[in-house]
Amino acid sequence: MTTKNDHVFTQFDDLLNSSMPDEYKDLLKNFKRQGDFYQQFVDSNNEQEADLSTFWNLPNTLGFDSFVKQQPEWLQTPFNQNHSSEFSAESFAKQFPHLLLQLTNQAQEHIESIQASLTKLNDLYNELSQSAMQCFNGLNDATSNPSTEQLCAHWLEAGEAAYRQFSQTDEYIETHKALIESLSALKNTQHAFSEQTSELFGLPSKKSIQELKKNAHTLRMEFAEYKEETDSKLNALAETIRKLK
Amino acid sequence: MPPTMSEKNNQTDDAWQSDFAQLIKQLSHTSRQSHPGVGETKKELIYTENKLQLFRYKALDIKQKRTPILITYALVNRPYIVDLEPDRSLVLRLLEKGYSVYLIDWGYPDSNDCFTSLDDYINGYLYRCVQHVKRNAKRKKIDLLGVCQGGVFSLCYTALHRADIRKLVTLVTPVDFHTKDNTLSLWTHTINSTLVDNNTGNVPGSLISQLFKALKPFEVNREKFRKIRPLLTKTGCLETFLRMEKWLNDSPDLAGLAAEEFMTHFYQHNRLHKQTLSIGGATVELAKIQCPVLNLYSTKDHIVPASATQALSQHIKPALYQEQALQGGHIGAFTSLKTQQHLINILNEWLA
Repeated sequence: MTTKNDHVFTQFDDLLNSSMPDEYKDLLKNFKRQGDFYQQFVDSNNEQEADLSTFWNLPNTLGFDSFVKQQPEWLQTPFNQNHSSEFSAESFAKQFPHLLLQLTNQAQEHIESIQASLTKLNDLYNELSQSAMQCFNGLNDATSNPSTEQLCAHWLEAGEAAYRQFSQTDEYIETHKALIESLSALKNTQHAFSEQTSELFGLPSKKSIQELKKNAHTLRMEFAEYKEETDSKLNALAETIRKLK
Repeated sequence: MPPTMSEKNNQTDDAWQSDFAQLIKQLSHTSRQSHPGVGETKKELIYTENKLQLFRYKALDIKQKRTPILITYALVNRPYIVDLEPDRSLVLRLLEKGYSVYLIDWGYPDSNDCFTSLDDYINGYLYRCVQHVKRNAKRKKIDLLGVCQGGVFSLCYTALHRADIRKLVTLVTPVDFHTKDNTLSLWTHTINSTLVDNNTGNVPGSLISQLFKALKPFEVNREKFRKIRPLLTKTGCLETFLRMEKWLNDSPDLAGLAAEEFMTHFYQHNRLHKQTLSIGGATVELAKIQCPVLNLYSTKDHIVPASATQALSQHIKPALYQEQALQGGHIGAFTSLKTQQHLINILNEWLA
């Protein structure tokens, strides 16, 4: 953005520290984030940058950057899908020795599967970005001296068209499936570890707690059924009495 | 002399900054320190069970229709979308026509609800709500209006409890989950839903919300926030936007077992359409529905494609079946100012 109206952004920063409701702050942040994005896009386009493909980066579009920040430190790197170079097993070993010590070989296998899926996804996202850029260039070429509004419309059309095509391919669907399965397998390994720990300390296992919840649920539903039957009978009785009177 | 590219950029930039400043000013105004209300049409709570609440809306001072109508919304979002604001309220439009309107709010499931099944929802919660409405309105049959997944529940209910329902309306309701244009179905076709449960045993609402956003990622995540000016220049536009954003970000978790069953039976095996669905030990045969059915679908629905809803015509006897197209998307079908009047006219004529 230009610096002409810096007071707007000073005002914005002030508001973020004010008592304004959080949902408004989030909304304003999102408007600003997207405003910055479009401005950078228009600038880059007008400066005739050769590679605009990053403007169709899917994880970034879906807000995965903020998602990354919410993850525990040891999971941040594998989720940072914008930097595939960080997925190497070597960097993992350097960054998370404590994790490698704690987790079993099985868990390490799952982490490697996650890495593989993320790397593959990252490649697919890059392909998607390239495809969107080509589509965008085609749309621009067909329009003489497009306005900013047209540029943004072409950006959207190109992105959605490329995504429609990519998101329905077997490769895209299967890679997501593999990622979810690997994450789940890792989660199950963690659960197994916590179950063992619970057993060691004489704490109730997750299985026994689930059993308790299931029984409580059944009881709750049975009680509601019984109450409904009673209400229904009482209502019918009241109706009969009313007619008899 | 036409502006140079750089000048054009600066003009755009200045205009955006000016709009952004105006947005900040409007949002920071003291009168707007609380979120604009949603679901504010007057109603009373007539039944509650666990997290579920059943409401009856206060009738307007006009001649009342005899048969009450119960609205059943999906589990994945909050039901106040049918009463978002006075101008965009399906509930209010029905009240204005003299209908007695009831609404189910499924609530926010927590870890205690992870074993709630589709049988519990349809033959348990929904069944008891229908009985309460019947007693409350002193009628032997009621009309049922199901929206999206709520429509699927309503179809199952009507097939299983035929004596309770006078007329059934399904709105943007999928029946055939395997149509070619159903992206959600493609994505979920081979995924084991238990893999996405969180530590409460439920499927996180935020995940479902992200899934919907991923159907049109560039439009929903960026384009929607590009143009500030229309929100500022039209009266009430910003309030509507704020209400809609609140609704979009207000996604309850899905009870684990019911979510798994819904994904398996409907999205993966397409059992409702293939007539192999069984709920609570009873086969759900749509062909056995004996009441008139009005199927309303939207023409630009990217969540439930029109083809997925129109498949209902293959199951209901032609003499009982009617369908109508509505302009707009999945939610616009009943919240858009343009479509709403058309929708209420269709409903009023058909329900009469």
